[in-house]
Amino acid sequence: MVKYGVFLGCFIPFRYPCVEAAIRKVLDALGADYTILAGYTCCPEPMLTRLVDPDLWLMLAARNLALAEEQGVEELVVPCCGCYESLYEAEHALEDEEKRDQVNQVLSKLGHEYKGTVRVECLTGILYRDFMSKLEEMVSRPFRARVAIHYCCHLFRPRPGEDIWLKHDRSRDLVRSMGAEVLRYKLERFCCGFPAFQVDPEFSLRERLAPKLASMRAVGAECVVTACMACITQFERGQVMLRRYGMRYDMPVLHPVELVALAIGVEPGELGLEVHRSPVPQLVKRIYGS
Amino acid sequence: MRAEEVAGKLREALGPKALRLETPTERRVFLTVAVEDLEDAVRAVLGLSREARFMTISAVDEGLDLELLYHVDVGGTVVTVRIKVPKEEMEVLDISHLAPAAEFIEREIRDLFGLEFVGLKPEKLYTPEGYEEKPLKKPMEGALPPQARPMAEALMGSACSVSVSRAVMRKRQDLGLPAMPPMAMAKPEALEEVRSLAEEVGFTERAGYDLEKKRLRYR
Repeated sequence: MVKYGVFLGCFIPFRYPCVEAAIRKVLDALGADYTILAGYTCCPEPMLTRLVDPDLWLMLAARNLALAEEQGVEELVVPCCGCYESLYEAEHALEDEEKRDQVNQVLSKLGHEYKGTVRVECLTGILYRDFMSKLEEMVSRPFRARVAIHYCCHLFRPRPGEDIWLKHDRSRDLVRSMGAEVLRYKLERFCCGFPAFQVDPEFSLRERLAPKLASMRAVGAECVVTACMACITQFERGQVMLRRYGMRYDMPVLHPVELVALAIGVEPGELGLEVHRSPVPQLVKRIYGS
Repeated sequence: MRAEEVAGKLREALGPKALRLETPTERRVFLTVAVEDLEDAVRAVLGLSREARFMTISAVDEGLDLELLYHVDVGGTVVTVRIKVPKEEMEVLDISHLAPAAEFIEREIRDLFGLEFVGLKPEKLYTPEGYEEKPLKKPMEGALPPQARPMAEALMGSACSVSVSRAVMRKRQDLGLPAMPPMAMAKPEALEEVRSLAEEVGFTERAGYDLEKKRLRYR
């Protein structure tokens, strides 16, 4: 059995503990051999840090990967697409031996070494690849809702030779197998606007988030599902902020693992869904009646 | 006197005070010292030869620091003493007691950049009386754009990109999760590792992060 290490990142434990609870409950229910990575830092986040200081970005990401190896992890499972991009890009960059040696020279001063044995994978990909048939059997309370999936931009990081849509197709199939109806809404590849929010909030909200939400609503979506914590933040915070421009969507936003947890029978009360700033508890009540 | 010979003599005279000695060409020497060692460095350079002649000082506003380059001709080789004055201090020793010709350029730099030379006579040289602007002084700005500054401080402060509230910690406990996830911020030694790495890759210097005060030097 593969030894998984879960990289929780920053947003999940401190903004969305409901997602952490769902991850633990789903992996426990699946009987997965996993550990929560200890001593880790921010991935570090792939936009500002990597653009502003690529050396610091690579060094901190390499430290996280080295920690995973030290803790016996074979596959580092990353529930957030942003963290996934950062760690996967670092894994890829460190395939260059010269670069890896440079990084290890610094890491070795602190007693670490990145050997390149750990593999980075996104959580939805792992759930699909290793547990799909088991999960399908475990579905006891199908998540019967019309779902619009936001395929986070960060997930478009295929391994060499891999289909660029593979991870997205797997996310869609995973969500669908939990009983949801996955809708096409034409703006799947459109960015949610989170990166632009750092520079121009109005543009980010009105020109990126609002068209996306409008197209989702137009096809009858009852909720948004996305595996990126920055995107979840943008969808939830953004909907609140869009009210100042007279736009109101009230669209619940969930991480796929929450949906999986609910579908396999985890009680909503055990997940703490009220942490969400969108009407997730109301949606869940409508689906499950509790 | 050739650059290598000059560098050797300066290394001998200054010891560890010579933070960096570079000889890019046969007739060029760059000597980097700390601000507090400026006088010793200039004295050492002027003492290299009876022909040593103070030339001028160049000032470069780098945003967070003012770089001063003291140029001295030593028998056809130009030796430049380089110091960086943090803009939080903006004060450096006047060297006109060692090289009287320095007085003019020091007064000019004071007028244009606002740098105080301790011991320098107060008369202005360049700008009119009553004119207090410092026309060549740039705002106190580092390399990071405003959008990246909170992230940089969060990374260096807690190794985490979001703040932690008591309410979330309570919520975590309500959900049966450990109040604090096993992040680096939970271990002081792990946080120290992060700062060491940042220093090692030159981030703290490039970004202008003050490790002692645990914040960026600019807002």
